[in-house]
Amino acid sequence: MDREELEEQVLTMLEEICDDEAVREERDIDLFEAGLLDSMAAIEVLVAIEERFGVDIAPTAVERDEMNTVNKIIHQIEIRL
Amino acid sequence: MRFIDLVATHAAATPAAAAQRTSDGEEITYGELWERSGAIARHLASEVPASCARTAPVIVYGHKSPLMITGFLACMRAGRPYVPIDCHSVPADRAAGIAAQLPRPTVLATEDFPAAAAATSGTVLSREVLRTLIEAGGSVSANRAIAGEDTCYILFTSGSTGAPKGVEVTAACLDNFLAWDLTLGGIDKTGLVYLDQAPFSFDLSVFEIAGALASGGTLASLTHGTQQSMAGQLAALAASDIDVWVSTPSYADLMLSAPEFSSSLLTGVKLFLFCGETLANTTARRLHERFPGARILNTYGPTESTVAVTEIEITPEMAAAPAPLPVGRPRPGTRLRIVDGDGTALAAGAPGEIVIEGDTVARGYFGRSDLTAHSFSRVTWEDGTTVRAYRTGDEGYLDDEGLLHYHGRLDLQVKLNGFRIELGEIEEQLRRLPGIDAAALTAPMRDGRVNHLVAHIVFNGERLAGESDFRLGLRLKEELKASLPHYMIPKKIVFLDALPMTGNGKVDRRALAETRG
Repeated sequence: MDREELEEQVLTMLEEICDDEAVREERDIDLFEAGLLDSMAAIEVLVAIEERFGVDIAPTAVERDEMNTVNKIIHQIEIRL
Repeated sequence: MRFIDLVATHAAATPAAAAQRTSDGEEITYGELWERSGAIARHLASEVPASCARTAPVIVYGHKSPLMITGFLACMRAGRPYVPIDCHSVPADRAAGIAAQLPRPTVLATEDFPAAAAATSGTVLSREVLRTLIEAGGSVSANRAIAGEDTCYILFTSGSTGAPKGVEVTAACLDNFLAWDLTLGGIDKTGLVYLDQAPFSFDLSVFEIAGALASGGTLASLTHGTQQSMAGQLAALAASDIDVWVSTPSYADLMLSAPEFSSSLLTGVKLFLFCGETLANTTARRLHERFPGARILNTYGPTESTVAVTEIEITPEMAAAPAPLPVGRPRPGTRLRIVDGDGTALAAGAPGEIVIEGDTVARGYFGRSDLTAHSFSRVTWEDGTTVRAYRTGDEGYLDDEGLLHYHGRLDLQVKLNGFRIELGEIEEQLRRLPGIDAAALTAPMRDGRVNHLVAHIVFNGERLAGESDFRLGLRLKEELKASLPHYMIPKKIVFLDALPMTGNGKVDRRALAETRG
C-alpha cells in the first residue's frame, strides 16, 4: 500500500468515526479538542486500524497526544507497517 | 446509624487506616480526616447561627483530593448542606450559575475558584486559608451535625430551561440509602477499597464515598490527570487493590477495551456495582469472563431518590440470554409505581412512567418550589407511613416477578456515558450565542445507548473571512465550553436554513434525526 492509499483509507475511516467529512481538510486539528473524538471513539479508531491495516496498537501503547490529529494517526500506522 | 457517626467511630477505632488514596499519590487517614474536618467545621459553624445553618449551603470546589472529602465532612459536621462542584467537569460560567442560585454561599476552594463564580458567592476560603484553619485546629459540637430532615448535599443536574437545578438530599435520605448500600452483594463490607472514578458533582460518587467511609474502607480515587491515559489508568488500578468497583457501564466498557483489564490486574475485586445508565448484556458477559470470581450488580435510581433504589445480581446466565437486563427490585423502604399520563397506576407488564416513593426521595429542588411541585409529592402508605414520591420522567415496566425494566426517557433528557443531560439546556445555551436563531439537539443511539450529540442550528450571524461550516462549528463549540461541561458539547453541528416543523408547530425531531450534515 502506498502512502496515498493509506491516507485515503485513514480518512475514510475517520470520516465514519468522527461523522464529519471535514476531517479530510483539517488534518492537524486536535480531534479531541474539536469534540470529534472521545475516549470511547479513540478505542474505535484503534479497533478500526487493526481491522483495516492489520496493525495492532494497544490502547496502552499510545497516549492521547500521540494520536489526536489525522496526520498523527497516519504516522502511528506508518511506523508500524 | 447516622453516616457521620459511623465515620467518627472509624476515626476513633482505626485512626491510621487510609480513608482515601488518590492516583496522584495523596493520602488521608481516618484520624486526619476527622481532625481536619473538625477544624474547618468549627469555622463553618461560626459563620451562621445553628438555626440558620440548614439553609446556608457551602460550595466545595475542586477535584479528587483529600481536602474535598474533608470539606464534605466539615459541612456535615457544621450542619450545613454542601454543594460539590468538580473543577474539571464544571466550567466557570456554570459554576457561577450554580452559585447565583444559592444564598451567597461560602466556598471551600480546594482549587482556584473562577472569578466569575466568586462574584456571585459569599466568602471564598482558598487552599491557604483552609490550611491555616486546619493548623489552628479545634472542633465542633456533635450536636451541630446534620440529622433527619436537614439537607446533607445539593447536587446540581442538567435542567431543561438552560440553568442547572439543585437536588436537595437530606441526611435521612443518605442514612437510609446507606443502610441498604452496605448490604449489597452479600459480602462483608468492613474496610474494603472502593473505586472512586466518577466526578464528585455526579451522584454516582456518593455510592463510593458513603459506602467506603461508613465501613472504614478506602477510596481509591482516579484523578482527571490519570484518566487521560489508558496506561496510566491501568497502572493506577493495578496499584489500588480495589475490592468494590463502582462506575457507569460506559467506563467499564472503556477499560474492557484494554486486554490487560482482568482479574490478573485487579486480583481482589469482589463486586462490580453499576448505576447511571443501561447495562448492556455484552458488558456483563465480558466482565464475567475476565473476572470469574466477581459478582455484578445492576442498579437504578435518579439523583432525586439518592443514588439508587433498585438492585439485581446479573448472573452469567442472564448476561448470556438475549433479553435486556432488568434493573431489579426496590430496596426496603422504596416502592415503585408505574403510571400513565394521568397518574393512574398500571398493571404488571404495562410500560409507563416510573414513580419512586420512599424514605430516600429527596426534599426537592433548591429554591425552585415550582419545579419541586411538578415532580414531587407526598403519599401515605396503608401502614400509615408518609413518604415523598418522585415522578422520574423515566419509562419502564414491572414484570410479573416485580423486577423493574428501564426503557428510557419520556422527555428530552438523555444519558451520555452516564452523564445526565437535558437537550433543552444545550439548546438554550446555543440560542444565547450571537448569530444563532434556532437550535435543536438530537442524540443518535448505537447498541441501545446514546452515542453522541448533534446540534442542528440556524445561523444568521457573521462568519470570519473564508470560515467553513466546520470551522464555524468549532468556534461555536469553543464558545459553548464557557457555559457547558465537556460532556454536553455536541460532537457535530449541522447548519440548516430552517428547522423542520411538525404539523402542530413543534420542532420535528424525527425529521432532524434523519438529516445528515
